[in-house]
Amino acid sequence: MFLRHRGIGLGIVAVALSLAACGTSSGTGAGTGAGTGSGAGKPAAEAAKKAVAKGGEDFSTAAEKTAAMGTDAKPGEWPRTLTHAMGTTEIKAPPQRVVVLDVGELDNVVSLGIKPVGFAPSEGSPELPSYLKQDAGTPKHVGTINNLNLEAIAGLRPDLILGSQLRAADQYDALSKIAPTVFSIRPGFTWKENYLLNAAALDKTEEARAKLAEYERKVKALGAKLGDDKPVVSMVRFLPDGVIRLYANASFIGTILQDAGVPRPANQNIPDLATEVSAENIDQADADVVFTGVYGDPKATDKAAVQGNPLWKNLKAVKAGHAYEVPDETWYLGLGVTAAMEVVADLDRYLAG
Amino acid sequence: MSRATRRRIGPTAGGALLLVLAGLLVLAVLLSLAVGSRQIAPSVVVDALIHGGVHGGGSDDAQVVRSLRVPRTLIGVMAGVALAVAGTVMQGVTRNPIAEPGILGVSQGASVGVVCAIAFLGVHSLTGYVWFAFAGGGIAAVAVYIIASGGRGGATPVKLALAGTAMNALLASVVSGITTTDARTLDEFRFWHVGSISGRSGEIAGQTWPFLLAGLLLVAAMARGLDALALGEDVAKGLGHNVPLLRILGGLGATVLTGVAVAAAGPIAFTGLAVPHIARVLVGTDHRWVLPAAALLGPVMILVADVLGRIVFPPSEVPVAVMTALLGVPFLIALVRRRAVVAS
Amino acid sequence: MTVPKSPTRPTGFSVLRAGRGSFLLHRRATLVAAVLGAVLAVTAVVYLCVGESFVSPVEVVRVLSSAVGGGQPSPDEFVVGTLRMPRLVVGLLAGAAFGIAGALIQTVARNPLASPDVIGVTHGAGAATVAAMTFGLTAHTTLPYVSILGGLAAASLVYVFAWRRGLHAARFVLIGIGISVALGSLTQLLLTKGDYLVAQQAKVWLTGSLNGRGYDHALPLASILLVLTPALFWAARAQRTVSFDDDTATALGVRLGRVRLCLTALGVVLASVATSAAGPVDFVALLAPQIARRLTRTAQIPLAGSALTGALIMAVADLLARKLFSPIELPVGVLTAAVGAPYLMWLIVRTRSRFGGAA
Repeated sequence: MFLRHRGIGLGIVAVALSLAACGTSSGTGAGTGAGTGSGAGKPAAEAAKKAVAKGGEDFSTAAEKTAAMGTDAKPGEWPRTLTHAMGTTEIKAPPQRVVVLDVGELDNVVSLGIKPVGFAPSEGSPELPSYLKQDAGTPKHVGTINNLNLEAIAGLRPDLILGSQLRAADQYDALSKIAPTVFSIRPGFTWKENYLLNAAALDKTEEARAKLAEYERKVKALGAKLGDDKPVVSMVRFLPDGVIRLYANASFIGTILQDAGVPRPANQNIPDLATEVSAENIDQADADVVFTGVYGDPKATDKAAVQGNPLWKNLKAVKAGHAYEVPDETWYLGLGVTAAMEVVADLDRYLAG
Repeated sequence: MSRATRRRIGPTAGGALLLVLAGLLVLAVLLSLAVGSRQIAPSVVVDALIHGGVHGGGSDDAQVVRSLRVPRTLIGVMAGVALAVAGTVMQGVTRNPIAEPGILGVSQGASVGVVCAIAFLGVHSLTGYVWFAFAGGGIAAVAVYIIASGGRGGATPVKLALAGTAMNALLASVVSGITTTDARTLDEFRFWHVGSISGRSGEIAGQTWPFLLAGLLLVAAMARGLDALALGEDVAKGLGHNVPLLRILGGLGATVLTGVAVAAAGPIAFTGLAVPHIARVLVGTDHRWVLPAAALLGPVMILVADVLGRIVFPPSEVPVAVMTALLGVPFLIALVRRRAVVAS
Repeated sequence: MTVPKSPTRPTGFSVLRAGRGSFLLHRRATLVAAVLGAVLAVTAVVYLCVGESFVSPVEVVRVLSSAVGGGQPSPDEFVVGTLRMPRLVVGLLAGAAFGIAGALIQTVARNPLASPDVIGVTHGAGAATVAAMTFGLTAHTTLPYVSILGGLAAASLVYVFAWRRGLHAARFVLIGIGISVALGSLTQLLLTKGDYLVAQQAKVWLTGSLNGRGYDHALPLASILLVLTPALFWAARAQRTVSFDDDTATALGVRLGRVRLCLTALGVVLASVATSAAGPVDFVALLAPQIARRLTRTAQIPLAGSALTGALIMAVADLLARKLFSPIELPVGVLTAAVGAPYLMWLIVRTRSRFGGAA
């Protein structure tokens, strides 16, 4: 028995709150006083990060904004100054040791013939994507996308760090002290703009434009091959903890399907990353053709339960034999031009072959 | 539990009460079959159950009921029976009103056993790793009980709860250590981290029922022994019971039942705590009535919690273990506030 | 190395003042504090030397002494000054705050088992922080206060529910465990509701990790500790009165209830702020006061010793967390739990408290 009076019990909140209030006033004072250096840009960065996450107001304009970023420098001109999501950064010489913080940046630099020295994989798939393995060299692991190991990055003595505001805005200040750091706004449907931004930092804009042109040619050829009567395509992805997403237009795969002129079901023809459904409503995933991917270990997802379900077997696409499992690492996890061309080749095989 | 008054219930009143509880269970089952992110009319549910949805032309709704909600409900019922009976036995054997698989760390032990079997020994079939669930749960149960029994005063409620908390923290730390360094194991473990009955296939029910039955039979055989133990060790001895044997058998039964529940649905806490107490309020202290009442009430609690979890943030589903904890904690608080647990 | 001393210096003095009763005890406590301080300084230097790359102690000292200098930092200056030092400071401050919080609450409860992490404070702070993150509030300047509110709310809940014609320690602990579980479930619920990306980031925070923590996190923590310094002086003296039994205290005219309440509130605030900075790092608040008390052999739990021991535990645990599976970092909470949970079990076995009796 260590407290005797009930009145005290009611008082605990009051006293405690006043203690907290004391802390508040002085705490913020100290915060602003010392925030001149690294912390100054933080609130803005966080607000921006919030806005570009799924559903934020900047979501639809992210591509335009990223397209406006880059450099005025001419090819071969060093040093060059880059405008990007976190401000401007000067790069003194052609980067030799590049660290990439997500698979999109990995794809971008590898497709431009650069072997990065460091790479942060996602939590769900800790290894190098197999479609990039051949040309990526042996980048060192520098933590995961949500838990970067800054010392490991610093230890690599990089001369350029590529990432995105959405993933690592918090770490930008420290990263930019290690090496010139260039951030796009977000990974995903802005992949072409991100590619050009990354290429500008490497002075490989021409190569990047050539790659994108090659992609455009292939994807338009696919569209032409499919003719006027294109099948409606539905994109289903199983994620851990029972999450099932139907990917919509504002996603990597959504942009490729749009480029090919492939029609989408109404529930996926929206300017958003994806809609979520539960196993019980999997009939909403129906279309002429269904492509499924799995993030991480299939056993951690509802995939088996959904696909063993008569509801799934009753889907138009499944009955017609037009439901295909596709590699998650290119179709859903992929965020760059190499993955995009792999996807176009797959689409060609499944839809036109 | 340690109250001197022993309330008994007559066969007629007891039978009637059990019937009412059975009715309640039927209602909970229907609720679990009818409610979800997809709206399905009760008539379609009944039709799907009775006619296999033939009259609905094998409609999608009927398919959802039969292929998704029936297995889920079945596993919920099995986990509920197992956990409620396990809780009753634990409370009887330890003579401790807050004993239950979740609080004592037995569920976590069982789930860590499963994870080790999968990650290190490559055991992937349920009939294979259910033994590891038993072993993990058993080791955790024995360790927690020994720790809590040490020192002065024996295994008091607060020491048992603290020992269980410490065990849970230790196991969580071990798991966290393994999963941080090995992302593959993390994915496997996610399934066992928070108890859930969604996405489990009907097969699991088919594979675990023999173990459930064995556990229930073991417990049923010792109902009289539990009654005697409730009167005190000396009385039980005087009545001709072998107290150590009773404790070992009870522990074994409770561990098997917990292991079954964990293998089927992952760790779910507080069902084993709340249900036996409600059962005792309803039918008195005679274990021949308490055990069946708990076995009927356990599934009701799991199914109601699961249905709530389906409707709070559709189409996302909150795992059933999160909901049982939120429902069960107020119960623990009420229990602790009663003098029965911490009388000084 | 000057920053972590601010929370500990007042308690160091307090031992001097409270030590009138026995000169011998006071000398030992001072000696222990001095030795702990020295060990802590050595650990801090080792912490700054060791990591992905080794930096020599000489270089570390040079970097620290010239920290203010402008211009482009050398790689070693960057690694030590920008990456390791802020993180170490957060760890030391959080550890010290956890240590003092544990000492205060254990003193009031007169029971080592009633530490802030056992009775729901850290879970309350955690749930509130995750809730704030889920609803889009991620600024480092506001989260500590959200965290304090959460910790206080949890403690008040435990208090209100545990009250029944007085507070019984055993009931308090049991209700605390229950509330902890409920708040843990609430956190899970919020993670289900929240955006997938936010949930991923919240999960990293929830493991109790110092990775990526910097001066942004240290500043609110340091300023709150600074504001509370006078309160800590008072607390060190008040501790003695609390250890009297009720009758003696009444005879001496001490308003025991109020003193206990204030000490508890102080402990809750400290534990919540520390949680906000470092994540829910379990068992530091339980371990530190117990170790400190065994070292000083004083009747009361020494505040200075607890703060130093807490800081030391955090520094050592985080050093191991960074180094054991490099380049993958373990959350520091994994290591403190791996040591703390068995210690809690040992405490239960050894307990001579009133938990043993009818409780």
